Amino acid sequence: MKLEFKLKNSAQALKSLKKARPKEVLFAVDSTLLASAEGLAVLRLAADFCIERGAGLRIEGVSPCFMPGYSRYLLPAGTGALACPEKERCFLGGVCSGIPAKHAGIAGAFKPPPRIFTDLEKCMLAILARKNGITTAQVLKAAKGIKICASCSKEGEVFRAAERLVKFGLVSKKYNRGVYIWEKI
Amino acid sequence: MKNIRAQFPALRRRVNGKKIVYFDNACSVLKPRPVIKAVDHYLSVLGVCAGGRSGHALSAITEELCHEARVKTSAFLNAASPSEIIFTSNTTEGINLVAKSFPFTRAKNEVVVTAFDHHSNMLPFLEEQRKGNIKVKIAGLDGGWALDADRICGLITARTALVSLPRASNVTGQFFPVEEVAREAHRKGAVVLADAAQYLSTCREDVRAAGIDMLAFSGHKLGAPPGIGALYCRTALMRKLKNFKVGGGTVSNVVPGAGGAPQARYFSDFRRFEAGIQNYSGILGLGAALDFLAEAGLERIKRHTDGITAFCKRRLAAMETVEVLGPGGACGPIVSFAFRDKRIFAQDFNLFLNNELPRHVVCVRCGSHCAIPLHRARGVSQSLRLSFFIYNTESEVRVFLEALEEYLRSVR
Ligand code: SF4
Repeated sequence: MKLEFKLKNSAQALKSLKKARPKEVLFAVDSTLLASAEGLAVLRLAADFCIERGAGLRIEGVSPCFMPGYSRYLLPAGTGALACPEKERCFLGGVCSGIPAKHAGIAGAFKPPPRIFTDLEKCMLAILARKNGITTAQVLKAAKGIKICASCSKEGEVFRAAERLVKFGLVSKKYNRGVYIWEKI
Repeated sequence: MKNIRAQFPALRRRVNGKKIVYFDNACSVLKPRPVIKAVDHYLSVLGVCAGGRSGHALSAITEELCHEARVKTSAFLNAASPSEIIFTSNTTEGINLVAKSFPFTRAKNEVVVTAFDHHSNMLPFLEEQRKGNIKVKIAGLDGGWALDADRICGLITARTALVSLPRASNVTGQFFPVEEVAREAHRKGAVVLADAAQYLSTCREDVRAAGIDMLAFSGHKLGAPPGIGALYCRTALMRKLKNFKVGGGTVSNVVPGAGGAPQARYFSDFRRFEAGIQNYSGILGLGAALDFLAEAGLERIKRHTDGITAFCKRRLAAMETVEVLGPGGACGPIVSFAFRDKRIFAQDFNLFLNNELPRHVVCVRCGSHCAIPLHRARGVSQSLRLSFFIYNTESEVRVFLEALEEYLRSVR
């Protein structure tokens, strides 16, 4: 299945994706979507939907800086790609093949992101996106339903990742009478 | 004790300005200076390959040092010869090597393991069973924490090819009757593989006296760097093992075979199992770790850790809120416990130990310790494990116990 992601149809594209539940899917991403934080948020939701269901996902027309943590699903920039002037400074430069030719008009928007999330960090964020302000036990219970990383259900590795997220200011943890409460900020 | 602690630079580090109390030695012990020095020496002034490849001077020195490490490993286990030592990356790889290369036959294709096994001693055989190559029998799936020789031997039949069991549990620390099992296994024509991952940091091994045919262990639990371990295998048995990984360093020649296609002439000894460039820094680190253990004295380490283990168990056993796991009796330096109140979540206490103490960060292991079948069979969802080594002290255990009491007070 191929889905076009433009800013104006992104919500519709997500809807069709959820309805079709394809085994294999290619997202073709337009410049209007890349330039919008709102559009990118929808694109990430769509990608997470596919990843959690174990669907084969490929994303065309997106450089890693727009979707940190999803590099493995991004297709190379393709013929006519522009060299990114930020490549030297960018920690994703090693996995980036440049700016796709179709995005030449918004080349200035391609900037190194602050950080790429590990699978466990993504797992924790995905858990808290489903239900925020939950206890450690609830986090582990929810982790069993997250496909990004199922290894944390017993040993609690997700909390090592969660503590990093606390350091980055993305998650808070509060201790109260023997129990920690985890919250996405 | 002060001198011993000074040998481990990691003990000096602070996390958020707090002292480290390190009780996760069953996972990996901290590294002593001689090991750091040996690894540094290899990386700084050698950094080349060994083992019948390059013939230059640096390679010859590396080969000599690796040979020395093999001799030390062989002596450490009282093997008959250094050629009975295959360097692996860890216990897990050693056991996988056996599971995949053991010459099972139609008549002899059963493997006996125990419910007390680490996943690494169970999954490689379950995987072979899944492929239809063998049948796995698991001793001790029900019953209490004790597992005596009779319950293991009861599963050994004329069809048993291999009995694979831990020397000591990584959850309870209890020892298993390997010698008795080996006698029965040999009587029925089977061989014994011992998972000694949790045994060698405090106990002297003698594979020949114990009747052990193969034994796997990891260097990182003895002070060596991660990524190095060894598999001991009796010479006659090693010749019968099938190839595991092949490649550079495993052949004496590659000759033209039928139709001119290249045909490998494999070595019959340990070299057949050490394909490709090896972890030389790890091997030298392992040699240095064994020297360190010899110098510190295994008996002395055992006496010291036995004292701390007994103290910790005694104090925990006196608390109504926790259940100490295991049958009691002789054991290695491991204490695991679970909270009786199911509303208390072990992971929360683990986070508490890492975050809430004013002057310390206490490192323990929380979860099922890669022994989910054992936890499930005994109805324990999660446990906390403390494990000790030569540098731990009773006052560190007190820090932990006070933290536990404070935590339980805060829950009430
Ligand atoms: S900032 Fe440049 S180098 Fe970095 S990922 Fe984006 S396009 Fe690639």
